[in-house]
Amino acid sequence: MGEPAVTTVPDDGLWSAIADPSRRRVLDLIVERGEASASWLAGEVPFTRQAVAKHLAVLEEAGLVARRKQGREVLYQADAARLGQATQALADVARRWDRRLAAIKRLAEAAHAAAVAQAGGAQPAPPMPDPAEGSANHDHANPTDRLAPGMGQRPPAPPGEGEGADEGP
Amino acid sequence: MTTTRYRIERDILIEAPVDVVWRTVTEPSQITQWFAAEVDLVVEPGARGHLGFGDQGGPVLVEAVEPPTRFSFWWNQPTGAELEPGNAVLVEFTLTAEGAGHTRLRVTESNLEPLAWASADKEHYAEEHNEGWGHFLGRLAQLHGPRA
Repeated sequence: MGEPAVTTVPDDGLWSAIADPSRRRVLDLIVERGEASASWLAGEVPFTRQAVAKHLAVLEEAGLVARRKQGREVLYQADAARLGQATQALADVARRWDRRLAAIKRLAEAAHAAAVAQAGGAQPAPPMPDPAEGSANHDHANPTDRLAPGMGQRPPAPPGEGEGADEGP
Repeated sequence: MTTTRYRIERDILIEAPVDVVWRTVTEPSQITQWFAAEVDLVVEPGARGHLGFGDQGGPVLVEAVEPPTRFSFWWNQPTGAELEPGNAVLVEFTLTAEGAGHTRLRVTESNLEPLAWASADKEHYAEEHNEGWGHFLGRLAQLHGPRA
């Protein structure tokens, strides 16, 4: 299917909200300061107050910042929960790469050991147990079956299919 | 500047020469062993292919192929638009010879905003954090601080 591997991207402006570097700068400033007014922000960035106001409106619509009134001032705060979720999602991406790299290591080292054994007729080194893998099967990489939390929530791949493959990005 | 926040970098030392690791990383018959269940991919710059993960999957666009040291591709275009350089997530593998016949394999995934924010809308996430995100976590701590 021509579907992107991430199927849950909502068409709610989130992506375009943070894809713009100027807007990310505004969001960064709000995060760093905790709370900021549009006029303070305008003093910190090299673009106009109108541009800041536009950026804030987009960020607010995407749920990344919320505003409250204090006297005559409007103060903007970043949404901590949403930022925290994003951070966890990135940590999850990193863990997936750790598993993939470990699988590549097993495969390449096994291929190398086999080639050396064939070429030299020397005593093949026994497959190196990978301490990280415990008693895992070394004949093929199958990173899906002992994955980080969260992965177990996906339906298992049908038998015979997807051996060694993982759950996606 | 801020873009580095949405980038991950991981590496591993492999006890095999660079050319062996290169084949493991780039040959479709090998990719199915460590990555996608279905691999329809020609490893040439500009080639378009597909990676399938069971019920998920999507197109990829090969960016750089420099045997045996560099391989990169775009994937995860967030809006469903045609994959183009720059409008999606970039995965880059770098292979560096190290010591006697060993290889340092590094992977970076950058332009990660769509993954981060799309996934943020999902419900379940592991509790532990990745150390590499100390910078961002520090910012989050600042963020939580004034509220606490």
